[in-house]
Amino acid sequence: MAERIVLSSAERPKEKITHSICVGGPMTIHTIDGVIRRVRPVVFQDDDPAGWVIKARGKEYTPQRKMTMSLLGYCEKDRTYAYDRLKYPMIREDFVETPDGKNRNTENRGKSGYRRASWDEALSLVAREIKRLQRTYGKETITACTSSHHSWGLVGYKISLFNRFFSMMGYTRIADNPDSWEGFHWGTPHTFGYYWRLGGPEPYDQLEMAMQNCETMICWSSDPDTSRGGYSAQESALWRWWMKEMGIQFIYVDPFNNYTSVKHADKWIGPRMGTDAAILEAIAYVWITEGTFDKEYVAQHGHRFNEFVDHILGRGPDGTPKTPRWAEELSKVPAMDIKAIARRWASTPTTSGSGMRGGFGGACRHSNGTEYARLMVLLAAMQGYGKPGRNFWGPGCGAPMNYDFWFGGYSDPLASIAKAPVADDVPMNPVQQVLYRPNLPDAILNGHYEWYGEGFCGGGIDLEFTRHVYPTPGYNKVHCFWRYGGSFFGTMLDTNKWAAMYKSPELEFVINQDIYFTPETRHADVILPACTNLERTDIGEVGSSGLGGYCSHSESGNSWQLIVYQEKAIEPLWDSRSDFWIFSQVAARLGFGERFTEGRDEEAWAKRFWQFSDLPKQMSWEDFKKKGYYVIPVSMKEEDKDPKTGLFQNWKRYPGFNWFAENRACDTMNHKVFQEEHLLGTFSGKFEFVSESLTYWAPDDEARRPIPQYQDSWEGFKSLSADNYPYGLISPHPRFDYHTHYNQHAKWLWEVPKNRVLINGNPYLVCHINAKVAEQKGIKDGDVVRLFNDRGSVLCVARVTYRLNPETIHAYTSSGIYNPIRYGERYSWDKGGSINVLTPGRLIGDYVPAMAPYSCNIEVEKADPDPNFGQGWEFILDEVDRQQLETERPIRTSAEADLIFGEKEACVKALVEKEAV
Amino acid sequence: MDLEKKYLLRLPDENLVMTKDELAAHVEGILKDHPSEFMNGYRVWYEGFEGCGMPSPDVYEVIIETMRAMDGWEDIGPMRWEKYGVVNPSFKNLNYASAAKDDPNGNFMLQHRFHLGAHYQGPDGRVFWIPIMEDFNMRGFERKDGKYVGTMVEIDARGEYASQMVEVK
Repeated sequence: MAERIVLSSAERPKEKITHSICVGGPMTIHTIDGVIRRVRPVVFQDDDPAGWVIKARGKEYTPQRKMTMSLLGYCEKDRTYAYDRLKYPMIREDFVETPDGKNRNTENRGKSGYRRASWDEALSLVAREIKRLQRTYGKETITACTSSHHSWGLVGYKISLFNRFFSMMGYTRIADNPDSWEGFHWGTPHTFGYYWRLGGPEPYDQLEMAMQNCETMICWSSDPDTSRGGYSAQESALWRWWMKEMGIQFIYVDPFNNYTSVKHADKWIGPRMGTDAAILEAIAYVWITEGTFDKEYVAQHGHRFNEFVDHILGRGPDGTPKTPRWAEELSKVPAMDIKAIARRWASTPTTSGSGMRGGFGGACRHSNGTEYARLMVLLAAMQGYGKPGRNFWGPGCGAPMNYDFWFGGYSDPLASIAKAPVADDVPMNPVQQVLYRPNLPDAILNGHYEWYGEGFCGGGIDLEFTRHVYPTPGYNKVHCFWRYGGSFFGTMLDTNKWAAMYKSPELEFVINQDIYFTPETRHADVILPACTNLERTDIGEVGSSGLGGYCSHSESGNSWQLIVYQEKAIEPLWDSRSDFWIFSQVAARLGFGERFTEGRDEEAWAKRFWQFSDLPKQMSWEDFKKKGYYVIPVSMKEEDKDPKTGLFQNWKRYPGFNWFAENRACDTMNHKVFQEEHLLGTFSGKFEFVSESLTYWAPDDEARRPIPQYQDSWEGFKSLSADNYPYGLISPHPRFDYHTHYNQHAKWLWEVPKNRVLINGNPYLVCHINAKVAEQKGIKDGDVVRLFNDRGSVLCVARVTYRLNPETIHAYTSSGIYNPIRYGERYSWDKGGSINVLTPGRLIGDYVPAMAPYSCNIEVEKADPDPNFGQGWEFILDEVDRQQLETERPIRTSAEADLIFGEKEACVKALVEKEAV
Repeated sequence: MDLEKKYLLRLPDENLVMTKDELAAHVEGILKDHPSEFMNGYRVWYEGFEGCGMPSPDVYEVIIETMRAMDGWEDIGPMRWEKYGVVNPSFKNLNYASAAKDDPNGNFMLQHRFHLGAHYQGPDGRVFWIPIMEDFNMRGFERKDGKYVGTMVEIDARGEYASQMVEVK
């Protein structure tokens, strides 16, 4: 019998507990002997504040006393020790540092192997090349782009660290497009304003409002269990169960009967792709003909409603009444179902929303997406938007929140080391030239590109119509691309052209700074390995207590507001280093290292965010570091608690949009001056059924008509391409990934049968095909199939189902995995599931620089899996590992590189002196 | 024969025909006690008249002419508007401070009293940058010798201190 040895407490390995945040929520990390053993949710302690209680329909509802991580959060340990981590700096094996930047074998990018380099060698090469390029072409010759969300923390996030470095160095900025909610961003500001909320509605206190007043919840193009409210934990799933339990009826409209719908829907409606606007017009038709809209509200708050009525009833230029029958022919949704929704919506207090925050949703990522989004808002207005239970909201945000407590939220402009007050030295990028992310390959490959709009246009409607030309007169073209985190092969469109861009000799030098060996990393000349969030120090917040989430108080699917000290759990693995260290080292070599760091290390920067917030009033820096987090109570007053339960029953409430329905000055967060005068952000200050801003700015805009309306897509079931590619591809935001940041790295996600199927060492993406179509094509459940069109081919594994209509094939977007069977060849079939090689690069319209991945026609056929084992690129990392074992040349570690340049020591010394003062 | 020029205004429910004097009187009515600090001809057209489409050039001309002639409004030349882009001329309401009327329900017109992102000096001489204003909460960062010092400061917008704060450039 085995002997049991009981260890004393002194003998037991010491467990270190730290905290961090990722897009899957906040987490507690347990580390023993320098190894992360497990990642768990943050469970609150007795001294943490009480939660809130919502009293609705005779019952009381309060959240659990913990944060509930999403499955992505549980992947963080796996991600940290991922098989595809970048261990060392690497240089492309056939890269030649020619003095003029020519003849560098750029055509081999994506194919070539790499050799291990020291940090000194890699950083010095980067610095030399930047100096050469700037000397030859000017500062504008370097461009750089970062993924969204590949790291979390106010120091490390892109608008902070990345922005500080590149603004200080000078570069051609690449404007991001709002790729997750294009139609709302470019559409609804012309209907109800809110351009400063990037087209989204006010979510404030809407959870309580809906629970108390709503009887019908319409989730249009919405899968909140999957999208969770954005970068957040999983708490909002509980809210929807509460709502379901109390009898609120849920109607889901989505071509794919999505994961939330199958759980919650009282009625699922699956329209044909891109016909949502037609259904909405038909609903308006029913209300108008039956007189069941809020006439008083519309008369008071609507602008040019009569013309909209004429359009709907067929008295407009097109002469077509937008009847349910008309919509049925387009959408294949029975007219009786359309009438039933319309009558239910009108006869009960109904809250409608699109996507995870009310103003998102895949349907707005269609060529008709702006019109769909505008109609969603107008229909909410027709039913008294802002009255109790009648609102525009998605059940993935809007929990009670303490708006009086301020801490910089995710992507908050004030919470950045590039901006005041956190930074003393605020850099200004001297380069005016700008590129546009979706069309970066076009600009590089063609040498010229023109477009309208600023990407994110939160600063004004006028920004949608600014004209850009690349190259900007007086500027040189770009010759160097510094890519930072993630893979656009999975998130941009027609992404085979990204592969072509990388092979262009126009790009004389390509740097990739990432944690993992992603598809884009494999196209770089120099690779700088960064560490994960768990290997560096930072500070962050979930719940959006301050501004944040790209627009103020975007909120997220959390029941709690939490500020987290993201303490380093382990030292950076292998020879990876923090992004801060990497940028500091390059800055030092370029001569602005001291200016970049201001003498602070990452912890000192993190402390600045604590300092410039409301947190110091509640907790000292030392206590905060020791505990690791702070829970913001929904109220700071003891008297706001329910004496019986001790839960907060009172807090300052600002129900979204009530102010407008109640004809009073706006009292909600993040309001504009004119809202205090009871005006919306449209030209007329009202809901514009005929948009004056579009008439003013773009009267010839064919994608957005003054009256929002259904239009056939340039790629849809009526377009010519449908002859060869008859199925619409629906590619929503992924359930098992976040952009491109999880699926590739956390292998255990591949064991989820609805996500990936491992065949011959390659994780094939799952796609859903209607059973009737599958039968016609001879496809069985589990077969490998090829999804294809003129733009490319992707091999997937078929799941045969009745959860979507026969016209549609479903596959999640944002695959971080891109594995061309013929490695490194542009049009090779991809077995990695990067379905955005199929989606069109065409933008929604001349004035609407928005992606439209839902306007995508494809064909499907049975196929064979690739007989070659594995993903096709592993040999490159294996070779670098072999070099590490066999090499005899001395390789400087990152710590030695520190010593060489003395940067860290100087910073630490300066910091110590500063603190002493 | 009536030779007086008439102005056609296309409104949501009707087309109005006005003489110049009538149009000017309407514009004056719209602007009287207007609470906003800044105004332009398009705001008068869209918010005041609830006009449909672009104002015709002759109507727009009368609007501008009337604004220029009115007491209490100063022509400040070109100004960028978030909705309309750069509009020239734009006008400043010289009676702005007194025009703001708080809601009878108690809602405070915060952004009519303070400019978001501006610097204010308090009665004790401290200078604050005010980058955050929500409902009636204001947060400032004290600026001293070109740097931000201390921690975030909460300022009661309805309080005595705030009432004595003066905007500084």
